[in-house]
Amino acid sequence: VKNHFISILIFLLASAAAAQAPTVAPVSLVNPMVADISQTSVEIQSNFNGTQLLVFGARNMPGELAIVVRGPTANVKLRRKERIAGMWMHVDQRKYGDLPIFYAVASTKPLKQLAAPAVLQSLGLGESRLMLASTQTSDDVFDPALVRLLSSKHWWQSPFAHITYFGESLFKARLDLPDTLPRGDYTAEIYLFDRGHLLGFQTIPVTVFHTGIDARIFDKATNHGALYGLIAVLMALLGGWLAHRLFHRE
Amino acid sequence: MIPMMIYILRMPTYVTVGTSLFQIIFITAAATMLHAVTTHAVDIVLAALLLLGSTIGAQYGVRLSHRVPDYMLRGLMAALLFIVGGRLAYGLFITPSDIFTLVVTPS
Repeated sequence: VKNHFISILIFLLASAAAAQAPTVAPVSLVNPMVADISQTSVEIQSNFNGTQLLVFGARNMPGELAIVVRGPTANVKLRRKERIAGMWMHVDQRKYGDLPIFYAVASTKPLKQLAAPAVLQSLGLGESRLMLASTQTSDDVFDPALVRLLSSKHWWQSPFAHITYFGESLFKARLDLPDTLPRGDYTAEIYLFDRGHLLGFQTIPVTVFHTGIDARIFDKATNHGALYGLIAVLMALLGGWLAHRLFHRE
Repeated sequence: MIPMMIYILRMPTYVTVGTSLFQIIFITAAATMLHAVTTHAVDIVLAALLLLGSTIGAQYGVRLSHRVPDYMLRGLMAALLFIVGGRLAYGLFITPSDIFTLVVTPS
């Protein structure tokens, strides 16, 4: 993610440098685009049913918009089964390192038409296939399956919605967040492109976190594994002993 | 383990049940610790619920095993193993709904 921001900065600086050229358009003092989201944190409790994130804003210059909501990265392993002697067994697998497990994108025009492939790639912008190509070598068997599985969980959404306009400048888009939403740090990114140039961008952090007793249990399980295991074993022993005492009181 | 105790060591069936369960305590405790430390995949809430049913059920099971004749106990145990084994085998042979499985681990 850090590399990603550095590449955006470099890109903007490059655009600014290009803007020094004599043929340049009039410099505007207004922000090319301002945007915000309906909530910067998503709290997940045991009765969490999914929620909606509203991305909205205004552009002060003509251009095309792209909105990305990017989740935390994870190591993803995809295993494939095959029938051997009548039995279904895992025969091979493919690993995808540091893959954003949540990725939703929407744009007013197909991404390809917004900017050059190199630009989109450096911004980490793309339909699922393209996004993969930036970090991994492509694979004909596993890649489509990965896209299909992550899409069926609604973890990858491309496009997640139509960006609707109100008048010339106001825009909004709704993103459905599924009930299985992975916890972690997300970013909502809004880009404004004009004829292949990035005019403006904004990133807004979103935190997805669990609360309640299940969050506390999860924390113990992941951060204090040994203690958690010990409690589980003691609980089992105590449970057996208690049941015995209950049934042998006489 | 149990068939060996029954047919080679010639132990009474109800003793083999107790002995096997006793040694399972250590295996499962060790496995639980390993899972808790490495995969963090121990669901303590589910375990508590299962514990409730199994510990109470075990009390009745122990009483029953004293009253039911040996051959019947062995027959019931064989039937149980057969059903569980059959279910596992069935799972191997039926076409899975998806040949791909996704495993996600935080990086």
